[in-house]
Amino acid sequence: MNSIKEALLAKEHLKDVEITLLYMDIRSFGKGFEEYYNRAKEEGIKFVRGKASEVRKENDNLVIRVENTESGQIEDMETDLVVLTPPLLPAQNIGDLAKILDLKLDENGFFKPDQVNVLPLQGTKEGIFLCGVATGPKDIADSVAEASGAASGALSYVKEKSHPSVEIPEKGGEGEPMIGVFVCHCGNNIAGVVDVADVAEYSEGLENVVHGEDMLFACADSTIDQIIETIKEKNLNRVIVAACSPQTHGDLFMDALIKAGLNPYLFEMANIRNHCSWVHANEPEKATEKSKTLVRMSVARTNLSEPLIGEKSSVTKSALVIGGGIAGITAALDLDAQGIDVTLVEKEKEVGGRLRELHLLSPEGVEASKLLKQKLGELKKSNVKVLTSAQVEDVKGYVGNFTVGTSLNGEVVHEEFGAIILAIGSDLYQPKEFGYREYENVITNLELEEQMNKGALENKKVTFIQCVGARNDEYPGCSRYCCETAIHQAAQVAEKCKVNFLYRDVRTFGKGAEENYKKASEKGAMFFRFVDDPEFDGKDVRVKDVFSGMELALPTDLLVLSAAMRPNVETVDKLVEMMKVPLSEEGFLMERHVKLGPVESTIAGVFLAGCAAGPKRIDETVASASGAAAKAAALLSKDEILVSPIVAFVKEDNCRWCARCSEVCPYSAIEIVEVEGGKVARVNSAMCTGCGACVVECPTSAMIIRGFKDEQIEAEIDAMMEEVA
Amino acid sequence: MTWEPSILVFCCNWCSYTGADAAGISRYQYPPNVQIVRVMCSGRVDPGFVLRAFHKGADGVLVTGCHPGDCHYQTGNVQAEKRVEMLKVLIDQLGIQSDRLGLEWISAAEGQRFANVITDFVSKVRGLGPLNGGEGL
Repeated sequence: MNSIKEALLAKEHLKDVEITLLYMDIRSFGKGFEEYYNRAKEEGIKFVRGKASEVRKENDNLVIRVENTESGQIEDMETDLVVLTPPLLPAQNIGDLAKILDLKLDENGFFKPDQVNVLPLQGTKEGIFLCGVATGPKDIADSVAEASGAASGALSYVKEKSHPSVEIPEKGGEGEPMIGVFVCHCGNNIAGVVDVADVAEYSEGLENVVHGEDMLFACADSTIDQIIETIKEKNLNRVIVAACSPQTHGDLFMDALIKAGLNPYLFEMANIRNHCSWVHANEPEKATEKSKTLVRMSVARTNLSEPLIGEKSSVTKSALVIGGGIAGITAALDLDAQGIDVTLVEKEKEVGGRLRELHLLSPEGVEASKLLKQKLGELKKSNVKVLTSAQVEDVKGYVGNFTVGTSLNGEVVHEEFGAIILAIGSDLYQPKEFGYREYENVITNLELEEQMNKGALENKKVTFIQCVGARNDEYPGCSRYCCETAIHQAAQVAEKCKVNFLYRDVRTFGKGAEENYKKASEKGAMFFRFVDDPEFDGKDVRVKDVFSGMELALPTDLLVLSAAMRPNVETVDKLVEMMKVPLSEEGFLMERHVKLGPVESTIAGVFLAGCAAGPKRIDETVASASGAAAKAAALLSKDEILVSPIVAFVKEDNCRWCARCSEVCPYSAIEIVEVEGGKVARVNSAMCTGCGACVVECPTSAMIIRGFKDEQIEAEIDAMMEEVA
Repeated sequence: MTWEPSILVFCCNWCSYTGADAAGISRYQYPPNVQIVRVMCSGRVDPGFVLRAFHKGADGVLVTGCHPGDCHYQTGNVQAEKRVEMLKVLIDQLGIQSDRLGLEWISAAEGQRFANVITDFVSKVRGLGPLNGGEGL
């Protein structure tokens, strides 16, 4: 996947470049990765399934010898540049560390988890937790989820927890504005194009600017100290840094203001790097002029800034976990271990979810029922309040203060929670293809688990077909669990049956999965790669095998379809209605950030565990559930929280309560209040997310948004259109 | 000095502003005729802001936001779309060519798209000429 990204980036930079990517299997199993792979193909990247045997030099050119496994031909490819994709290896000193910590390593030299399926983050010694690539290769999103999960494990041993609190100065900005402008060189990144000294000097002529200065790296520790000193020395009450993006560096400079005793919202950034020097690299004069305009706009806006402070909001110290599968159970147990009151709601009669239906788990063949029993035992011993045959009916409130109505035995009970973890699981695709439900001998991989639970299959010809309902036009994503579980099944079935396994790409990326792939082959399972969908007439599976190019008819007594993991539509729809949780394109719940916030939803106080956010294997489900628990615990360990001050408020004198604001508010944050002489709108600051939709909708200018007031934006527009003096 | 168009671009905090940052990170070049004003959501763009920009002499205004379905605030971009449609009719009646106002969806990851959108919009406005020249206002 990383190679696909590099190839596409190279293609975007160098339009005419020809890129060939040699691969064995395309393993784009992450969320949105398959779509990215499809885009790479559309952009003209050539994918050749083959392994290079040598790279040699011929007349100053590099020549790669490749066996194209699809055409069966040995090809010599001339190229200007060869990029190698080496595998991830265990860290060099991992053996020493393992000795010191008394931890076991696996056969590949990575740290060994205590139990690969349900304790993926627990090391082989109690109290030591593992995360990220320490246990095996993985990408950023999984590493981040695991890191939070490992923190959750560690926190269960920590008795006393405290949060260092930072007092945010409420004041600043009184009297005449005294603005300081700091213009960053960013080494050569800005100064190589923009005349930064000229911009700093220019800024000093702008309204209320009393200090203009250029500096080599504004974000360097020593420079930040210098900025703090200057603020104090020159009595600055507003600060502008003209440098990079507020998205990446805003918080850093806001902290500097806090240290200097100023309210952080008296800070403004002019983005003269990402939006100027980097994108106008060949037009230095115009870039300098544009930088001056950007600074002028910031100064105009900053003249109207005011100190802002978020309202304090109390936190109800209990959590609700919705969904009683392995994700929900894990999250609930983690929270309980940290001493937090937890309620677990499950709509079925019993908790356990999908684990109840499974037989032996990949990769090691541990009995699912045994693990489940162990977890249910832990649940019984815990203080987790488990509600079965229960459904969440309504959710009101906001981070730290949710009120949730749950129906139980026909009665709806309302309770308060500070955090909510969504562990709603997923659905499996019900195949419409290959004669499923028409022929008795066509089953899904889940139904095969049931059969295997009853006893081993014997003397049958069993064919597996992968990617049923996935990686197609309707549903482009990879379900990521199915290659390794089907291969694990195939390895078991191959003991006493003839097995044929039809796949598009083998994606056995999990711990021990590649080894099972090898094991299945050794036991006689035959693997056939297809591009065009196979067909089944009840007796034979017909497929064109890509490698031999032959049309095959495979006699089949039992056809097993690997069904795609799909969103749990019924539950998801209900959540969307109750909580307005955003969804990703395929209908799974959307993460705060696909890589950096994989266990948080975009709604504060609502967290995501397991397959709710997309297909996952069991270990990944457990890791993300622990991750979600850690995030929820961090929130619930606070007595009160500060909500963002960028929120709407109502000038009640202007309000005539026409309700247009509350109609456009996507968060139901605006309520009607009776006052003397009529009704007015009132904003719940904790629920308001500061989008500003209500401000635009208000016909009487009663609605105002802090930090993005009309006057501030208008001042920016006016300043933009002024000529450079 | 030859005439150069001045163009105001509204970027939402979550998608298109970050998309503009991404264009920088990848060094995708585009003409320097645009100035970005950051708002939390494209739904925050008041029709008054657009009219004010034209009143002050901007040759073009481009509103950008998250792709449909991706809005951080769920429906802000839908509001923005409605307002831009309404504004196009309105400015046309005021004698300002409606092509001077644009609406584009750009995700946080689409640096290349940001640069392309800006390049295309600048060349479109350049083709329309100066605001008070092309319209004869």
